[in-house]
Amino acid sequence: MEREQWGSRVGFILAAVGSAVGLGNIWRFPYVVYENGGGAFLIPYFFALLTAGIPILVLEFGIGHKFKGSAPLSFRRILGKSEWLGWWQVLISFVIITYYVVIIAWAMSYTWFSTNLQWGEDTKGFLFTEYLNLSDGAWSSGGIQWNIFILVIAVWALIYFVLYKGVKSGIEKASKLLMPVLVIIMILFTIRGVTLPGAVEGLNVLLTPNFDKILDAKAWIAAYGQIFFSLSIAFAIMITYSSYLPKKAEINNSAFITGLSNSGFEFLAALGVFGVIGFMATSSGTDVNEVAAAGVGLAFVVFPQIINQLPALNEVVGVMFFFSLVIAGLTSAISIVEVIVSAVMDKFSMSRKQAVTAVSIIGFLGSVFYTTGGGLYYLDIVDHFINSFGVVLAGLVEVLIVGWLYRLASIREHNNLTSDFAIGSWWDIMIKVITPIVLGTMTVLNIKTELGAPYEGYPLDFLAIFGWGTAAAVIVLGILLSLVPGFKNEGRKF
Amino acid sequence: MNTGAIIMFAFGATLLWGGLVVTLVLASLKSKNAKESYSEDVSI
Repeated sequence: MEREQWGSRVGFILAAVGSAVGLGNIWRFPYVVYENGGGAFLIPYFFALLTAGIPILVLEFGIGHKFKGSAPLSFRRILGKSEWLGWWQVLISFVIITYYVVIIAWAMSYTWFSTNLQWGEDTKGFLFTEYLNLSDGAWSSGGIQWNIFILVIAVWALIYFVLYKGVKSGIEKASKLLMPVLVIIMILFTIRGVTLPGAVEGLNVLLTPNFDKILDAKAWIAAYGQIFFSLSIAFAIMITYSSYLPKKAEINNSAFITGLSNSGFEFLAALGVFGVIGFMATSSGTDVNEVAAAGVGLAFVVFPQIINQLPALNEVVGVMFFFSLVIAGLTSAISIVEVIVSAVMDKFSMSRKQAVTAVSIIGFLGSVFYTTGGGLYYLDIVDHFINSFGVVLAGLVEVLIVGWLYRLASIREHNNLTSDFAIGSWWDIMIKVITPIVLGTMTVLNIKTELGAPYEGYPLDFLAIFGWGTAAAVIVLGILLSLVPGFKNEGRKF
Repeated sequence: MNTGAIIMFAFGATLLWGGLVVTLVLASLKSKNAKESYSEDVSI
């Protein structure tokens, strides 16, 4: 069976950028900058982009292009026994997509709520009591919330439709349509944000450098963490996407374009977000530091409050903000599901239609779990553990295996053959030394933090099952899947 | 905005947005395939 292929370089890059640009670019990055030295944080951030983010992108683009397979097949071709690593990454993608789809469904709801500011004055109460109907505690599921359940079906249907059409007619076309729309909306949102009265206060808090903070190792770890989580690396997406590149496709510059587009987008989003936060602080007579927030709290509690107080165009700004979350989320979700679809197709010789149908149904069933009244608790814990002990650890194992057990230079030489510019042996050092040190440090610090106190005060048995249990299950299942016979159409040897 | 914030804005904008522009210009200058279709290259 001939492997599918992108229709153009622009299509591939837009799909890769669409994957990298996700919810974290809009709701995580601005707060990370604010918390870690403001403008001064841009120094470790840019350093992390050049020493880890782009080098890993170059590596994953190279792996996918050279070995022409989904993550399990590519790692099998790199080193026969490392197929499990590919499955581990695929299963991490599976876990992430089950709750990621639910957040997109929330953003869809809030896009609609924006049209008449339905959340009212008590935005916190509206989110947790009225919309999510949050249960009393972690062990109480509270039953399915049907308003969320229906939208989750809609999101899965959209993903199904795009992936069913294939790489060129589905993913590429969707990326070419959605990414320009997302960038235009974000530019308009940022222009509105920075021209609001009081926006300067927010921008001053965001950008005024505090160089003392970047002398602390925490800021550097935060910079590497942001780059790592933001670029969709280490859970097989970029390997999968680049496996659909033709033989003569450019690699190195495409990795730079993808990395810089992702970072350029989140820099733009940060200006818009802190512009409106500055407005909120000024108009309510509070300090910017009291308004600054991240994640679900920023998007679904603070932003509705800000939108309520805008002097004009409240509904328009609300729709722009939440619709940008929907698009950013959808393009990332499509890439995450494609990782699983591609692996299933390769391993079990299934057609795209069969694989997309099977993965979408199973994924949807997993998502139902998060549409219950206790869904936010599960989401919070699973997201925390799968990132801290899934993505980071899988990334560490990936650079160790490819860097030290395989002739890494052969991937660099392969990339250089067709690239706009050649990459030197400095790249080998980044992959073999710098990245493992950073990811290893992050893992040790994560373990130390976790053992210090239960995450967010959740019950220990709950954390053991949903947190540690999920992180461990994806490794065990990954190993088991690698032992299942498959890859009948493996083709040429590498 | 205060001077420090303006300088850091210029720093970020130059490196991130400026860097992106440079890579895009390089792509259009160096690569024949920068904007063209991949359709003629089906060798896998």
